[in-house]
Amino acid sequence: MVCYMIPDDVYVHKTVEGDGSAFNELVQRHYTKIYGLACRMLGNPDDASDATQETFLEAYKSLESFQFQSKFSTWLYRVAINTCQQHIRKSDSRGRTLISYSNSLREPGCNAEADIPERLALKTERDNLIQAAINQLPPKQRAVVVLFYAQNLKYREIALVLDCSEGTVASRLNTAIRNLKSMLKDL
Amino acid sequence: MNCDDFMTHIQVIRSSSNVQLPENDGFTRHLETCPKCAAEYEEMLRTVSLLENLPDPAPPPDLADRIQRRIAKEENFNRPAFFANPFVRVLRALKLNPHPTLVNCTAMVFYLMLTVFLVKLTFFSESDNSRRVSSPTSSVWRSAHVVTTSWAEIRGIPTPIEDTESTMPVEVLIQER
Repeated sequence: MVCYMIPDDVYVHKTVEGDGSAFNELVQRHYTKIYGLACRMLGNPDDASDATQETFLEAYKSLESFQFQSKFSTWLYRVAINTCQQHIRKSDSRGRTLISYSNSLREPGCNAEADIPERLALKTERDNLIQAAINQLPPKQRAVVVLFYAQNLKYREIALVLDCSEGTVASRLNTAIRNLKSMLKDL
Repeated sequence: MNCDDFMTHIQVIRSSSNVQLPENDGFTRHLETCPKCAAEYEEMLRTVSLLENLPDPAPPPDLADRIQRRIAKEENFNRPAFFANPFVRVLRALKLNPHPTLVNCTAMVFYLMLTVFLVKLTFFSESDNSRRVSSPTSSVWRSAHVVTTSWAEIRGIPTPIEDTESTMPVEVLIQER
């Protein structure tokens, strides 16, 4: 987790007071995480880019409704999850198919592996299969899995983001892992 | 503990063997004695490990710029127009915050009404007599009167192309000759 000298709340206050450049700082701080969340939730880099833009736009429009009762990042995750779920509903209605997103993957500290094309190709294919399995989960389970494993949030933070109890988070996570286990059996 | 109890209560969260066990001893003993549940447990650990090792997707390099451009566009769209600035100041003083579109529309209506008022004040503010003469209605009536008079005069004058000889009776002509 990155710690900043000036907390997000200061920039939120500045933005609400009309300082447009303050929100740019918030974008710079959080867009990578939000893109990662959207990519895992939607399984498609183009949709993830759109969802990331819409998330920040929505956050900018409704920033005055942020009450500082939680961290700005938690609130932003909530906006992002809602935006992604809207995209999932739209995609379901359009019957859109999953497009491979592997070309955009970043693997820090995997240079040795990157030297071997076959192993890289195998890993890419395996990651695609895992992402495809995640995409088959119901949206609520998908959100818990992505927030817990990809974003490394704690139960309490996920409960805040999804507006449910910690017990519900644990239950959804357990069910999701069991579902994924059966889907990834042959991997 | 039997296999059903084990499968109901087991919860694998992290691959670092972080198993939440309500009755730790019972679970551990069952894992050691039941190969089926041990295999199931290993399978769950492997699934969690796969999820934990998924790489972070890298965002497109221009994504932050695109977000900032879109927000700037939205900001400009929702900003009151320059001509509405006096209204914005008044509304801020009154601690009101209506939508910028509403402020812009109000300002436009106000300026339109002001323009109409100024035009009327400039061009239509003479006395009653001069207004009667200069007004377009009176000039139309005057010209209409002139036209009517001249038409009546034309009707009274004999036409110049009329030949008097041809109109005289034949008897008169014979007498003259």
